[in-house]
Amino acid sequence: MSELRQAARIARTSALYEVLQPGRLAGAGAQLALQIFLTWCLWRALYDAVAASSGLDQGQAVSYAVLATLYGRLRGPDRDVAGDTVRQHIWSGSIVYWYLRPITPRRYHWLRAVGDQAYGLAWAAVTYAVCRALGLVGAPASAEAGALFGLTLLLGQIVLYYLLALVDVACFWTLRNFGVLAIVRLASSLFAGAIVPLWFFPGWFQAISSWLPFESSLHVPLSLYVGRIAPADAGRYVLVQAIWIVLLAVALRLAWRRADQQIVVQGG
Amino acid sequence: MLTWRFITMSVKSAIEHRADFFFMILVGAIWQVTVVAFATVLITRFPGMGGWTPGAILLMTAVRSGGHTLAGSFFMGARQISELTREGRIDAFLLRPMPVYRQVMLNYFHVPMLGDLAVTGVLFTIAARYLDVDWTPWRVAYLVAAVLGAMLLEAAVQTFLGSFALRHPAAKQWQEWTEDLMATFGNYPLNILPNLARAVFVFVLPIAFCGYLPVAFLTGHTTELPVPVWVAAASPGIGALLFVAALGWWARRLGRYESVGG
Repeated sequence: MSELRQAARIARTSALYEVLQPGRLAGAGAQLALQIFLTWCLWRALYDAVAASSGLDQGQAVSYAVLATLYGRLRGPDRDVAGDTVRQHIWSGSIVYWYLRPITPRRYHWLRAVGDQAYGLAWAAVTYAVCRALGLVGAPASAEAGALFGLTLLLGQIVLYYLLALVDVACFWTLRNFGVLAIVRLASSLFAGAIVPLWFFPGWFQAISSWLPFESSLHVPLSLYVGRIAPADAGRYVLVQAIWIVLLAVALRLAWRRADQQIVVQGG
Repeated sequence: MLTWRFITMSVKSAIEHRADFFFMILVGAIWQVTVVAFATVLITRFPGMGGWTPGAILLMTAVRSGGHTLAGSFFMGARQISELTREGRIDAFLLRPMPVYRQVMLNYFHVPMLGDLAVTGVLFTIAARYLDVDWTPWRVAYLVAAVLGAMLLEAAVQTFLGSFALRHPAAKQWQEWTEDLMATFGNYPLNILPNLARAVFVFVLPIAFCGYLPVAFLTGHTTELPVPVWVAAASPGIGALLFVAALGWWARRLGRYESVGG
């Protein structure tokens, strides 16, 4: 029980960091509301002159775009702001404290991520309910599509966690990760369909996306939600997600093991 | 001379971590793919937006993106004010024989700049190909002025918000949010938005002057403007005026600066 309580105390850190600062909290809410409103206006305007494009009608495209905006909030607050990333601790030397605590660095890192994700999920769930009530987002294409949306969204977030954790842990060797992080963030938006749904892109672009882990985080769940991917075809995508999870989990485990063995705090 | 030494030191500092330097260049390349992909989608999948042709929208994107690239190259330091204050480095800047603002701006070298400039060039080329506009010398000159105005306007917004970071580190979040907002919604004709939102983007967060208004004037999309045509035409000048005002605000805030060390 005390272990569970300890885990909960670690997990809630980022949420408390934001909740206890009304300015930051209000800013996050205003930002999300404005982004959703503008995205909704934008996609409605694009469909003014066409009934459907690339297999998506206006309702599907608007729902996809608004949900993609919510997805941005799903990963929780930016931990960089709170100064608790591996890079920041390596730079200041305080990474050594991660190795002195009665919890392994790997588990601490994972618990923080779970907490951030749960907090982000709460934001996304409340905002989704408001959007549904206001008619900004349509209902799932079917009950089955809704369930598969939930499953693939969960698997997609696990894939993304492993990717971002790998980038974070890589700082044990690279010391800085601004470049890699920027690439992963940009790629995870572009190749996941968060900027423009992947259905609008040319075939070659979709082919590249299908080889990368990013599309499973957003494109697949949202396409299931709006009915662009039929539930009967979902098995293939779930399998791809599972393969990515296994590959990335193994890579992360190896990376942590190597990091634990070679940690050097600046100054020796 | 001193300024040049600051620039070379910033470049050396960026190159020190070679892997990260390489990846930052790669970021610029991926961003190019993003923008070109966006252009491809717009041109091939939709006939336009809000009465604007894809070519005119692309020109708007190119102007805003060009301004953003230049602002990122010369004024990116405004985004670092929060960290510089927290680490007490502003104190050191105050002791050196160079204006603090210039030191803040020279403190950071924006690596993907060259890639970003290439994107802007590609966008201008695509837009010019799809637009039926006679590119007279004065139009080209106005276009250059519009890009510079967009740069100054973005620098003004970041400087204004960054000034708050001298006392409130959370201002950085607002800077990032504003940059995202400008990058996302500066690329579209704002007449697709309701009147209130349009007014906000003209009078509160003046995104409209970065691309929408100058390009509307240049391409003749002047029927649904939220301001008189002469105001739209004066967009580059308005960007410059706002930048001067932001510098004044920075000087005022810096005068009230208190070190984190007390």
